[in-house]
Amino acid sequence: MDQNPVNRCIEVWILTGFLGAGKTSTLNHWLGQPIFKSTSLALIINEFGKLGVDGKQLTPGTYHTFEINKGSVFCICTRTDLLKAFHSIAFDLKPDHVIIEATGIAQPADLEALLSDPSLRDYFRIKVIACVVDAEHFIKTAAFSTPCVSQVQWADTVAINKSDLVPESQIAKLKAILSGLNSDAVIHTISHGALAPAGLQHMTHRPRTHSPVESPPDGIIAVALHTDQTLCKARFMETLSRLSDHVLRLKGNVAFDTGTCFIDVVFDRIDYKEANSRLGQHPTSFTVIGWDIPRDQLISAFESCWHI
Amino acid sequence: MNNKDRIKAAMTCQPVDRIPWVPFVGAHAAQLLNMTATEYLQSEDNIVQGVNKAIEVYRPDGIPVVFDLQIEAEALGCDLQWADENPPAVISHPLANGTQLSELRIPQTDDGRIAPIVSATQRLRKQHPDIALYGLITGPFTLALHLRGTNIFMDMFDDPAGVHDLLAFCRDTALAMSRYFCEAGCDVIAVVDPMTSQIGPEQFVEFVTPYVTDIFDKIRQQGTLSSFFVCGHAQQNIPAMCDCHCDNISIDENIPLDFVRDECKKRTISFGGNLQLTRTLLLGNPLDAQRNALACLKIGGETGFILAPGCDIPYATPQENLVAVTDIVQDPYNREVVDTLTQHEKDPHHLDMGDYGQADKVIIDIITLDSEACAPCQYMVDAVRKVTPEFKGIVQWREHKIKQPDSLAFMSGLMVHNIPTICIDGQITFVSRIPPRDQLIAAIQKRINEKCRLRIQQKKACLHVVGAAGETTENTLNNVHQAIRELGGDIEVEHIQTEAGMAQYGITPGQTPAIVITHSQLKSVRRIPEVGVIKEWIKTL
Repeated sequence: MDQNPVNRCIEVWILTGFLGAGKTSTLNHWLGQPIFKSTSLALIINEFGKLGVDGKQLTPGTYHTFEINKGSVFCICTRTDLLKAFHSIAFDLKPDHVIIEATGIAQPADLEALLSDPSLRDYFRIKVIACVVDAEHFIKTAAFSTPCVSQVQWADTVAINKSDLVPESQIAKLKAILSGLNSDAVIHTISHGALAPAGLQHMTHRPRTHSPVESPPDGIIAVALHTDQTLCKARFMETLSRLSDHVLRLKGNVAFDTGTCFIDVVFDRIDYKEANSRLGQHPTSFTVIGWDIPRDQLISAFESCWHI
Repeated sequence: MNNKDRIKAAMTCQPVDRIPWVPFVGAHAAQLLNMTATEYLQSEDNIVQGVNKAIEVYRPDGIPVVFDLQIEAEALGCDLQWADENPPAVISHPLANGTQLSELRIPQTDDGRIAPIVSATQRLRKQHPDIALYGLITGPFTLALHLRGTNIFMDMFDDPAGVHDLLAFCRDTALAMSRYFCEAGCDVIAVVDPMTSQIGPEQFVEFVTPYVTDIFDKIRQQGTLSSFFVCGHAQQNIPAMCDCHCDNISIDENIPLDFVRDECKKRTISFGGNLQLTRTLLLGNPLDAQRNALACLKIGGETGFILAPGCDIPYATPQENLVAVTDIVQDPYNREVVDTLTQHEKDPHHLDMGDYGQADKVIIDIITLDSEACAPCQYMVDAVRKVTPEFKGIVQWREHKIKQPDSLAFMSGLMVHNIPTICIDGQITFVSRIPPRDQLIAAIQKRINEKCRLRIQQKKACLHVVGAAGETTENTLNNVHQAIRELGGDIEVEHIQTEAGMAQYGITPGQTPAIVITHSQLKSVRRIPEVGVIKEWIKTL
């Protein structure tokens, strides 16, 4: 390492995204690219509950891999092991690049804070934080998992993966939602994790100063609604239509005045099925994932359907 | 008030004689026994021995029997990956791999590692009747994640009824575990649910509140106290946690302690935390640990607060850092010292004392809180005062009371961290202990000897023979050289012949031949010495 560490910081590429979004596919894609094949590289794999799996899936290469106490629910274990890995990389391996595949439940703020530790900050520089988003499932996970939203908000670039599995209209809607969460991020649409690192090389990481998300923002909200009353189907459908820009998903049993059914709304598409008897003691029991609408307004809009 | 009474009083917001201290020693106990976390967490005997060692070294008011949130998961069929310096990690989730919830049964005492842990609890109960024993159980949401994996977040939308069924099972498991721990003699049942930091307050109220409230109600019915542990970014859920009928909330450094204090006090429940685990306890030094502990003690206050780390203490945490925390909790004098240091630590006036101690006399500096108000400081000053006359004026001593800003800067300059401390010529020599007379004399004499040696090695002298070339000057020079030869000295001789050179020494040509002797001593190179340091040199002239 250079005598003056500031002159030769190791570039850190951080891959975030919820479990199953396609981070490992993206990582494998990166490992096959010239930028990483022609330089020295270390990997830090820090995925929740996948020990041994990711290690076997990785494209073979000359890189050194650190597997961080994956599956541990204690953030402290991960933090301690991450520190050890970074120290080993900075003082022993001294590669040109580090790629971190962060755990799906990681708060990127924590990683950024760790790299700003006095013992590390002169040796590492975050090149880019790339968040991989599952085109099919992002809405569902974002509504319930706070890190899922943080990861988008702290990203320099967001890759909508598995875009081949959903209609164009949904991709467009998802792009709008992701831009709403992070207007500075460059959004890519990809399949099979094919996010080209060459396209990220010119990027400069923008450090964030706000706190990590500790509650799903008003942007994406999940509301569970239950009632024993019968709902007016016409009013319910009118409500859905009126809120079409704000209701991303809706799922559950609804006891309409025309009969009870299981309803599944995906953006503009509505599917009806036979009522699910496992959904509890209330005839009407459904969950709505809303976007860009106050929680109270979303609740009162649907409650108006049974307060007739 | 014994340790257990102190914990019970703090837990129930009753007055205490001092704030109690509960180090969450889990895998760290393996370090105390010089073994791996794997060896430690799989052996009843090692757990008993490790907790005993922790009690001996850290003198806690309460302590967990074991800190391992994978015990229930292991008993329910999750595979574990063991580690040398961490608790094991769950690496498979039965309910994500084809197993149905209906196939799982509530763990019995003979499942997994439950039996040895219950037995360890019973043994520790007998050995330490006055220490509060904490039985830690995995919270329902965290156990649900162990069993189902992160699919649970999508299940909350796709199959909320299934999530509720799973959480009800996890609640029943927690109830069974709490019963095992209570029957074995635990005083406090801590429900540890770190994964709740992953969800927002609405989801917490829907998916966590009903189940943990049941658990805390049952624990209370058994006559046992309860605590709700969370770690990570969980500030958003603290109000909801406080409403779950627990006696105490315990948090880590990710949540401001004053926020938790205020939320808990509104509901008259107690709280604990939140010593910094990594940056301070693991990577810091004892003074860092004491400063952090002091900050927690001040925020927490005297009522309804328990000082504790934020979570399981890292394996490699230096023991001295935790001992330092114990000292500050149990010793008001120590608290006052650290408090004074902390109050002045932002003082930008720092001395560079790198060259300190080069005066002819040996200087003894005694860094004290105040010898008139602090007994250990007084004894240390007395010890020095009594021996210095024996050195007949070549040893000088001074007391520096750190309540005065100048003294604090002096202390920082000498890198002193403990009070009282004796420095001899700027070298920290006796720390926090009153030296016996013979040891103090020996230390001073050693320094005098060192100084003599240095003086001989460092001092240079030059003899200047002043006078124009001529017989008288030549004879003078010859005599000088002969004298040096006869003495065997290492003295440079310079012949000054010019009038300008003579004038430098205030000599006129009419006064020649003349002899001038100069001494020089190297004091510093390539740096600008502090005024205080130069003053010390000047005093020797």
